[in-house]
Amino acid sequence: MRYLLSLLAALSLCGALQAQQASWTTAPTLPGEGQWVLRETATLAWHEPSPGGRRRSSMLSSRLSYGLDGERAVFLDLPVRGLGRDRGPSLGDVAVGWKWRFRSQNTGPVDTTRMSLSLGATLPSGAERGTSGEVVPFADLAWMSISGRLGLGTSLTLEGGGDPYRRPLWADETGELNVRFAAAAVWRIDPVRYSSSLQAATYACVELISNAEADDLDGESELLLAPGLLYEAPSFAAELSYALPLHSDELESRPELDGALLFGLRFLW
Amino acid sequence: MNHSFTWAALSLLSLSLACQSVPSQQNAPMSEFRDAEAIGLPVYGMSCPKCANNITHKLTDLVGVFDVEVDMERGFVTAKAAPGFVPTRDEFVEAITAAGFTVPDSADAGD
Repeated sequence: MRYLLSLLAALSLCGALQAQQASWTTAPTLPGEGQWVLRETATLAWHEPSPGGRRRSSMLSSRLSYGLDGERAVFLDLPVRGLGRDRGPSLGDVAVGWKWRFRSQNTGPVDTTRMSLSLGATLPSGAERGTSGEVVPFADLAWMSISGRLGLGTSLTLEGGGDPYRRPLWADETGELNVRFAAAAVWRIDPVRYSSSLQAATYACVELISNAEADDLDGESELLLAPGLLYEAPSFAAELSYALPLHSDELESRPELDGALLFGLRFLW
Repeated sequence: MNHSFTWAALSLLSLSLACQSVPSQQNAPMSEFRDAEAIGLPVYGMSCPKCANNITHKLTDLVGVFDVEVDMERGFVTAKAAPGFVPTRDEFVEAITAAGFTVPDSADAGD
């Protein structure tokens, strides 16, 4: 019941606000034709004690996107996982995908509404303790609307469903198909008004992320709240966000999350 | 956990209601032009600096274009070019579209 209320809160947020590109919510943004965007994110997470005694994990993830034209792009994800002090970093499951922005309605100088569909698959490239062991498809539908200084984004992602990781930490590692719904609100703090030349902007973000097993309404679910900051210059962006759990239910195959800190950089060239 | 959850949900609902009335910026329109040294057209959808920088990349790829000014506040882009190399309107629109943005029809500009 509380999970459904959480979803209602997230949906009400979506209906009212309009957003920019936040940290945890997929955005229908693409590199222009022939251009590259590299997004590097480092995530440090703390988990409840588990039988294995693991308390901390880290992930360094690189996404390289290339714009095919104004509305299509391909991307490659390269994750490197670290599982605590006693275990070194190792390559996770590499993902490849295709992103299509099928709706783009630009209604003013900065006002826009966009939707995109991403399809792809993770490949079993990870080390033994950090892989699903098979090719696993994923799909993501994203919506974003920006109006003046304020914006909203939402994304719905189907992920996971391969073999379970040896020690799963995240919702897409348990072997069950996970539905991730995320909503983001982003407010441009500075500048209040853009000038006549390109300049950097700073945004405050708040995101809601919900994970739920797709095949069982009473299965594992969690809801996270993630406040953050985004700094965006013409050729790069920096992001900082902290996700904390609001609610979790029936988490049996992985430890509960205490919190996760994300720091990221995005480069355009 | 119960109290934090309740407060978080109430905060989000309050934020949701508060933002219903936030107006979008209104900007003074600029008129498109093309002369011997430059071309300038209104462009919509330049929602962030990094996105808008795509436009600079695409227009400077055109032969002869040496400078691009992006006015996000008014939604207007000016490309300066060497004499005889000023892009046509069609070339300009094609570059903007490839960057993922829109040049509104003349009748729509400034609406």
